[in-house]
Amino acid sequence: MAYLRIFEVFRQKAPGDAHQHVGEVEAPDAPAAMVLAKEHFARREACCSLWVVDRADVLASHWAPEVFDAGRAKGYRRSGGARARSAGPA
Amino acid sequence: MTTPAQQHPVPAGQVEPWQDIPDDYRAAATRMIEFHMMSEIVGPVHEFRWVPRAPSLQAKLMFAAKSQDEVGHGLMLLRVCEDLTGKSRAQYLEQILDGPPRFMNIFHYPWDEWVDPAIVAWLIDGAEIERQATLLRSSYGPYARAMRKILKEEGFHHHCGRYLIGRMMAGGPRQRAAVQRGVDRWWLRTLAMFGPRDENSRHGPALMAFGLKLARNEDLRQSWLTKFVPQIRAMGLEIPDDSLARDEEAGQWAYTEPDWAEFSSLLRGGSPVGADLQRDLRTARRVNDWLLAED
Repeated sequence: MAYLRIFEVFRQKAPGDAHQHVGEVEAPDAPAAMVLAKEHFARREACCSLWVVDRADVLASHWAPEVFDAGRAKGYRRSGGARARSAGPA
Repeated sequence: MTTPAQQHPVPAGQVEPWQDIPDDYRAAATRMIEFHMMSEIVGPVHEFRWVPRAPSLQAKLMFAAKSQDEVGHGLMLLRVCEDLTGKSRAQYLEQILDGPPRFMNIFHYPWDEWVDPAIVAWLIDGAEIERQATLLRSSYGPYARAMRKILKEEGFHHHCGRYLIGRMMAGGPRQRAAVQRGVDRWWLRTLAMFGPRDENSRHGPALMAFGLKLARNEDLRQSWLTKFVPQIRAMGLEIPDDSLARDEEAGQWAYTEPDWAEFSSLLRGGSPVGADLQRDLRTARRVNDWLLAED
């Protein structure tokens, strides 16, 4: 069964929603994965579109979670609005 | 005494397969999830057998859908196990078909009459919901996520069971007697399904410490009793336990203990019924081999 590949499955519940990751299936190729994904993830729950993506094609970030925190220290983006005005000239 | 989690702290929050996972966390998660996975794959063999014998078209459709769901749960959990252990699908199939019978106690008993699958859907899927609702917060991310779909579908199974039992109770005296026989047979097995209390549970405390499991067996059993004792009585059925009583102050049920020696012997050594389920799966694998063969 070495011919099986892992496909990540993304489901869009209703038009306008984002495709969300719902799980994986194992299949020999993408069209077969699509059939399995439909049967498995769209049998009961609302669905209007599915994507299957070969896991080998996914590039996952390798950074530690702290790396993403750095981007949040941007206090200067908050102008203060009404508070800044009421404080008067600096 | 230090708990396993103190000895080997796991990463804060949810654990994902690509993180560094301590060996004993991985071993505990593997044991728990493989057990659940094998139960979801072996158990439906009982159900397949009842699809052609269902008493109505409605019941037949319900059981065909229910067994498809259960195998689907097995499939999702197989993926979780493969990522957790690095074993392949082929290795897991071999383990499920030929390996030791590591699955739930309830599948080791025969399902001899129609009331058996209906009672299991009503009471035992109800019991599974109790446990799985807590597992939505399990510390192993892929398992907790798989639980969302599983839990939703178990809700459907429980409702099917309640509907089918309700239909039988609205029937004649022979049907009502059959349902009572079913409750008598499955009562203690259902209580046992939650597993022993913490002090007698070999792996429970470690699983709790790792956050893999969120509620103690006894607490889940108590909460199931609170929901199901009134439900069973409202159906017009008697519960075969004279010592069943609720202490309102303590908020706890007293009940007759299941046979724990039988429970652990089934979980460790299996049974002829369980062996038969695995044999059916091997046959299914053999007759479909031409489709799966590599060439």
